[in-house]
Amino acid sequence: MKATTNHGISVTKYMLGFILSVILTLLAFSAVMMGWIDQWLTGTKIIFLLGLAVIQMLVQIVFFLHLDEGPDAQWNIRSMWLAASCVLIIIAGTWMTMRHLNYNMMGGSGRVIRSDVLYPAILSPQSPQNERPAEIVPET
Amino acid sequence: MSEPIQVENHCIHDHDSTKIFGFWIYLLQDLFLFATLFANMAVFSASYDIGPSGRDFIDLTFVLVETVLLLVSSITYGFAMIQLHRNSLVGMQIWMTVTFFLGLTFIMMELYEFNHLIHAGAAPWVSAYWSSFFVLVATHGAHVTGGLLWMICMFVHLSWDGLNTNNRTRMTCLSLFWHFLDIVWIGVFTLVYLLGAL
Repeated sequence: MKATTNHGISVTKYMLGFILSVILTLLAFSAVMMGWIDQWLTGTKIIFLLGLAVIQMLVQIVFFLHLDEGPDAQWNIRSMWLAASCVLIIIAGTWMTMRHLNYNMMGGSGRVIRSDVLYPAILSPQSPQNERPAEIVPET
Repeated sequence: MSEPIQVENHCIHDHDSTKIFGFWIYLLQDLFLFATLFANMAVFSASYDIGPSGRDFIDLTFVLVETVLLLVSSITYGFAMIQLHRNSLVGMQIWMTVTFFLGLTFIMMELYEFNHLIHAGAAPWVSAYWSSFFVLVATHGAHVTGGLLWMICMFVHLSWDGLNTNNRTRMTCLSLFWHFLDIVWIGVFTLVYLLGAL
């Protein structure tokens, strides 16, 4: 690697990274837009899309950033691993500790609070005649 | 840092490698800023109560065009760096101009999108979801705008001094910055747009 540092930046390397990035981007977008992964479980979809994103980030780091060249190559890579571990702890840790933020709020799981989910009896016209509409009718 | 190697490579390299390493450290701490905003977005990904959700507004075709613009601008900046290594000032300026206009189009599309969202009722003050959406996407957009201003400064520097050591160092730092923004955008379009549209 050291022998080629002067001409280490090559068209081939950039084009390879570019083509791989285009493929990964189109794969991620078309999987959602064309409905290829509609049948999958939500967790599987999330892992699939995040996996594609991580792969594309690695592709761009390797092919575009040229971290493995120059006198500070070792330091570039080591500091990047340190930062990547901290970023993982920040994002995954925050999500793990705070995903149940609304656990005791209205709506049970607290993930989604929407009145059409909470009170389908009031909002939808074809609902069976049960408790809440029965209370409303005599008042009007 | 290992001194002997640095001295040896200073002859090969025509730029200041310590400054570039320092800039790389800056980019890594910038990554922490984005990490907190990504974490914020993940936590509030469903906190829109009865207000508009991401699914109601996200137009993936629009985002795909933005993504392609940024990705192509990344490769055109790479071509500018190749011209730099071939000592071709004109070639580099041409590719930098292409990069600049691709980045400018990206920012214009993002501003159009923000304007459209706010007028359609999905404004930052509506819910925690839209607050975190706007903070994350706009922080990335502010960085891209910073990169565009930096490119304007580089056009001036290059017209004054040509390809001297300082300008080579600046161009290499800007190349790291620009590619870094494209890498952050991968996270944005996946976490905010693709997962938001599921």
